[in-house]
Amino acid sequence: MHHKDLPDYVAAYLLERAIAHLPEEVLEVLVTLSPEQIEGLAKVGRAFDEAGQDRHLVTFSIH
Amino acid sequence: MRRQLAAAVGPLTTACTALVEHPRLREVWPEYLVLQHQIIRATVPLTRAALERTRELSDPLCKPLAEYLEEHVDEELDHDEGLLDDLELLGLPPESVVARMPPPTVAALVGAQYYWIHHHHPVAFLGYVALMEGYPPTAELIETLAARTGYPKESFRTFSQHAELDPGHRDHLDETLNALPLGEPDESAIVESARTTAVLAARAVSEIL
Repeated sequence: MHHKDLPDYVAAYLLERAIAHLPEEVLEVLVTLSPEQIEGLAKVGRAFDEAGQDRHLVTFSIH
Repeated sequence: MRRQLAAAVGPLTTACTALVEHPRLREVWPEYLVLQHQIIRATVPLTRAALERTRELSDPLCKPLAEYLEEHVDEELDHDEGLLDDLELLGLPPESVVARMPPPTVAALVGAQYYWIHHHHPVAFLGYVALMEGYPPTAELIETLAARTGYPKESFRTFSQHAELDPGHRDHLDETLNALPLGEPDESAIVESARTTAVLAARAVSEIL
């Protein structure tokens, strides 16, 4: 499945969670979820982040 | 395309987070800077190669792409020299840094761009620039790195310069992407280039952890 075939709300979820590469099988499940179900999934992810206290993802590059 | 470019960064995020959280960050940090020097010292020659190839072609992209690349060379001049100065402050003489053979992952990262520039289309190089210049370090990150490594702030001069300059360079690229008459194959090439850059840059960082 190509990224451009993903519903916007699934793409936005992957972006929020900084997930770039998922197995095809997982993507196929994600696209079956409703926007409300994806939001629930995102809430769980955010709760995991908060439970990790000061851990946060960083991205940086110099060029 | 912008959404796909943003989604491409995942592997680099994972590697950067692992670097910043590394329990022996003080030991690893000079190795990271050596790695960055190995990558950055190729930036101006790579951009010039893209410029020369662009000038050889004659499609509608070439004129505006060449104009961007000409300006991009100026944006990137001498950044590698500043990084050598930072490394010297950490006790690594410049000659010892440049004497080290860059690992195959760095050769693959930069080499992929040369391949696409010469054997596909230099527009692909914009994916490399988008990834490398799209995530400049923040002042907060530099504070964190200085605190966790215990190295003096002066040794983060190159990082500080990029924190200041790269947002402007990123805007310049954004304006260029908006203005270029990109077709779907061009956009796909840019996205594939960015994805490859993220994967290989992340792998290069992971190899020193």
